[in-house]
Amino acid sequence: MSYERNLTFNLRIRGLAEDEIAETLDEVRAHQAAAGTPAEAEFGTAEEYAKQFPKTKMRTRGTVVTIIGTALSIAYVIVAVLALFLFRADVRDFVGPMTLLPALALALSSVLAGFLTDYLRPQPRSRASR
Amino acid sequence: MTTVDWNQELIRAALPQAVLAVLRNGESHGYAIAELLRENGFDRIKGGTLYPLLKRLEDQGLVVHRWQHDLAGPGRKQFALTDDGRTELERAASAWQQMDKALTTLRSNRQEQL
Repeated sequence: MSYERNLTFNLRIRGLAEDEIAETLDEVRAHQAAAGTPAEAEFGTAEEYAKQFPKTKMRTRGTVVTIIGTALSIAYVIVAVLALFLFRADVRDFVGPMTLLPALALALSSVLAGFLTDYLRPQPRSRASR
Repeated sequence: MTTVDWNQELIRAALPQAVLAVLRNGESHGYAIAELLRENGFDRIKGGTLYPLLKRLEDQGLVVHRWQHDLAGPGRKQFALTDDGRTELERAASAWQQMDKALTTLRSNRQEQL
């Protein structure tokens, strides 16, 4: 796990905008080149350094994915219950013996997808080169 | 008895003023600022402390930056003092002198016991 990728991920979950993250990465690269020491020796671990930046309420793309997935899983449960009471249609006839299993799988998948979205998404383009 | 690291306490308080003072002499990049501080008696200030401070000073309008690309490598972020930064440095120096004076008076005066 590279320092820059780890720092990018930690800055994203603190709600920094992509251009601010790009600028921070440029600073780290520039300072590292000037000092000739590894980034971790100068800035601490990526988690520690990210904590120096104030947390904002801006949602990351991964958080949005998780929210949408969780909302869909809740909607699925509501639809299943309404179908049962209003139309006597048992959702288990279509999805197998456990009513909540698809909803649970969807919710867990969305959490994983959200994490991977923020973690694996490429680092923002350098601002210094623009 | 636990001892207080007075040096660290003072560095934390003096660092914003010290960075503004370095930039009063002209624009500079992060590593050069840290080196100049070290040459003038500060402990080695790491990037993890310096850049968030520079960002705060920039957010307050006391410092501005530009990227310099005339050298090989990743480029350098050059910081410079604004007019507000100069004014703020004077205010900070004045406040520091007042504090120093007050402490000197407290240490030298014989306090009456209440």
